[in-house]
Amino acid sequence: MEKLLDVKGLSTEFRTERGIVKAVNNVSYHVGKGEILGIVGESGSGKSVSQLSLMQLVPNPPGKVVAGTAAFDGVNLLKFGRKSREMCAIRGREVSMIFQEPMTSLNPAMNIGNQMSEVLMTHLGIEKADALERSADMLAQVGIADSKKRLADYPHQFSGGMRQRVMIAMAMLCTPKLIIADEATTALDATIQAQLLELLYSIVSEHGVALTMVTHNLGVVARYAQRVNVMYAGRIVETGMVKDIWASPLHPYTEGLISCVPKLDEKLEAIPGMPPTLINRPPTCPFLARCKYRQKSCFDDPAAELTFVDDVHATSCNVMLKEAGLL
Amino acid sequence: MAKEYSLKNIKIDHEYDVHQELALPPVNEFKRFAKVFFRRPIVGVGFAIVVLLLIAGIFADQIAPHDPYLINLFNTFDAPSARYPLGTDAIGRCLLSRIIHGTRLALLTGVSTVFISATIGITIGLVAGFGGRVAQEVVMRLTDAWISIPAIIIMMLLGAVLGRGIGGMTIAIGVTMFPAYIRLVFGQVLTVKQNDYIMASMAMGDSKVRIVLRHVLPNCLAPIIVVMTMMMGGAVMAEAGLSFIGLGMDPPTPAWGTMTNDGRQWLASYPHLSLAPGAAIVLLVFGFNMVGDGIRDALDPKMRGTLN
Amino acid sequence: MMVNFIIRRLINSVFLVLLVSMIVFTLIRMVPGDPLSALVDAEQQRLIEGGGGMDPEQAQQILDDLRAQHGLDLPIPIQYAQWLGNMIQGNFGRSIVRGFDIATEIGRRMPITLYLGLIAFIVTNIFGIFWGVIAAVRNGTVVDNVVSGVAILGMTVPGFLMAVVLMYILSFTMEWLPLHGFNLPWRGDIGVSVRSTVMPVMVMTFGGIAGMSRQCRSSMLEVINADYVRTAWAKGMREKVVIFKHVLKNGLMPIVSMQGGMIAGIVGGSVIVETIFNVPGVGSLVVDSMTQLDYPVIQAVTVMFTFITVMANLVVDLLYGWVDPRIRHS
Repeated sequence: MEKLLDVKGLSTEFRTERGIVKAVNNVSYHVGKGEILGIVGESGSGKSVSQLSLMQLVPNPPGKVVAGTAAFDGVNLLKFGRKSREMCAIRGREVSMIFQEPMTSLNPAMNIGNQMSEVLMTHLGIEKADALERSADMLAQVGIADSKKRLADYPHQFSGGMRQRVMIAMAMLCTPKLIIADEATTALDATIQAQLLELLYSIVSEHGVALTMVTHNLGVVARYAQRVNVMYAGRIVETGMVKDIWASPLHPYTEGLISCVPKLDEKLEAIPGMPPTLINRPPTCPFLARCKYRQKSCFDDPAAELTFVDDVHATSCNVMLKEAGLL
Repeated sequence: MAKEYSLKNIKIDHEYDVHQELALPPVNEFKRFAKVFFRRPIVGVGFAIVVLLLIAGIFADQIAPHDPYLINLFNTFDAPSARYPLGTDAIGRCLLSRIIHGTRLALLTGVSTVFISATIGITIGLVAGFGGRVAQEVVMRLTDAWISIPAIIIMMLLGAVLGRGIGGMTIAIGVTMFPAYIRLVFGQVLTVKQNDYIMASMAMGDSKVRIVLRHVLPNCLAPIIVVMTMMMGGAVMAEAGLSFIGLGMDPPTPAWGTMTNDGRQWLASYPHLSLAPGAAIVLLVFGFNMVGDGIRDALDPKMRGTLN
Repeated sequence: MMVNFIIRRLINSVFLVLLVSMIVFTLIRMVPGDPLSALVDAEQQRLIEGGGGMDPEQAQQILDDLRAQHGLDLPIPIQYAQWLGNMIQGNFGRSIVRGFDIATEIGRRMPITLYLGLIAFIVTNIFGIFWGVIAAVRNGTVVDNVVSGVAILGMTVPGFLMAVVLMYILSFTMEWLPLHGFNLPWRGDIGVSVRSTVMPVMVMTFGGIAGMSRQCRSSMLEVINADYVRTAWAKGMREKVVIFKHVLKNGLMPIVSMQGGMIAGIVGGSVIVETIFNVPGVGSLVVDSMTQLDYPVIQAVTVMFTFITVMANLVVDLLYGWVDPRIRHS
């Protein structure tokens, strides 16, 4: 599959009062054209920050992308300035984002029509009336009834689920090549979550748009994505095809995540402990404290790099890599 | 092939599978407070000023080189000297001594004013919060009315009614500043009342006093303290302003505002007579404001856990 | 809906003004001493110095007559009812001490206070918002630090002290601006008017600008980091659009609600500023009347001031509803 987005060595740091937080630490991955990629991890694992980093939307200060490249269609996005014309021309046009908080992600003082039409007017240079009409069409496509009338409504007049539909419509307006859905459905209740995921899935597959689904729910990824990156403490600890990982995880953390997904006949198993703080980390494996497979050597060896054991499947577990003879 | 590898093949080494306890070190609340409080150097400066002025105010009798009321008509407009560090005023009184004694007055005004207004505001807020609809309506209307009169007029009137000494002025100013506390406490009462467990405890006949002491006050203590420190500066300014236009403390009390106004007559030739007490006002207000800023930061729940 | 709201608020305002007038009416009468006995005493003093003098009974008689003449011998509630009746007919009465017709006097002085107040209002808003927005957009830079520093100064230096310092520098040392002699620009020399306006306006606005730029900065910062602003960036909007279309309107909403307090501050501030700079407005009238305990004048002015504040707050609330769609729809 042709690579649409190729991220290499991405690192993002936050300067805080307690020290430098390495929120994203040397992350490399790619998204193919029209592919659906899942990114899973606990909160604070760097999954959201990595996505904001390549869109150059990390609040600065305190955050800063300190290393790496993100080639989109062959062009490195990170070489542009955060507020540059080039970057702005890509956001919303080539790559769209849908955020987690439906209640606060829309401008409360602007009606939906204006918020949507400005995207089309900016990127496609079309007239307002035309832009409004296309916005209404898009709203209808995401299942908002009476869409023409609702253009005049303000965000507070929509429910959470409806607002997220508006966000999806807004992201799709210019038919981008990639949509990044950053925990897009997490804040909604389960039935609406399912509806929206179905909607998002059908709309991207219909238009051949690639989708990066950032979520902490491995179940969601298993249902829609082809490949998945598992992130922990700012690193990708395992990546591979969803079905392979599901069948045979190669990192203890992934195994823990899988056992967290509710299944009908099995007991739920939580991963004990808390994710580590990302300041002044020792060089050892970040999962060490919570790992049930850890061995004596794990306490001494530095954390392994993400290493491929075959074409698509990679892990950064020291024990596993030793077992495979790759470390 | 991935199937060659599996976590299932790994032997669990039981010597190392005990989970490390990641116990966080206990947080020393006082240390945390101090650390956030002194985070900004300017707050430290303000704090130092307040401490210095506090010492000056408390030990005014010992520190001041002369009697602040002692008139010496043979020694007027004396230039600053070793004997009179800031010189003397139009009737020969030691300016520095008057400023030092003024510190005591200003501090007293600032602190007691704020306590008066907090007491009134908190009481009214509680009454409004726990009272019926009628009580709420009455309290809110009265508060609206109070806010609508320019504060300076209330202060002047009350000052005239109560007498222009420290007691009168404190009450006069304190009474104009209470509405800020009402909304704070009132809002907190309404929030607390909506909690299921409070409704349950009320249904079980827990007294209102108990609810106030256990649930309402602890929750709004932090913002109340912040508002109190922030308002100390305002109170000092208000008193000085009233004294300046001759409607505050009666002479010959060494009030900073009065002194600033007295010195104004000789502004062209002896500007320090007016500017020195003025500078004292600025210093104290600055100190109070900075300490208020620091306390606000230190009590801000958003700042919690950002420092270790 | 809207009309209903306005009518309800207007009725509320009327009650508020009534309540305030009642409070003030009672408070003034609790002040020890009374203006008329001061007048009679002064007259007595004059006569004694001239070698004559009234006997105490005669003086008491005169005082009683004067009291009756001004209606001060009646119970306070009846006095209040009389005053209220007169005021509703537009009759504010006469000054007890100085004898002038209060409505005429206020009519003469009010334009001056309003003129200064309006300038102060505009200046405060322009500079307060401008510096606040700049400081927020350039958060953490030198500009931000300078604005914050000056704002701290503005909230620390009381108006009267600022006036003294300005007088010392601009009038005594530089000899640029006059100490007093204020006149309205359409009455007399415009140059003099402008020069005599500068210092009062500076004093009236410094604190307000400081408070407003601080508030504006923090609310702008809050909005700049808001999720919907991130959305605007993610949609590919350029910085100008993000700031002017998405940040400004939301960031300035708290500023609208600040206007009421600011107007009250300007009205109150006029009392001190007019006294210091000898401006013949309503503010200096209050101070004079307060020292002489001129009951009806204090009452009239307080009611006027309250009315202005209440109306200003009403306008602010309407404005707020107009700016914030969430309030408009509820």
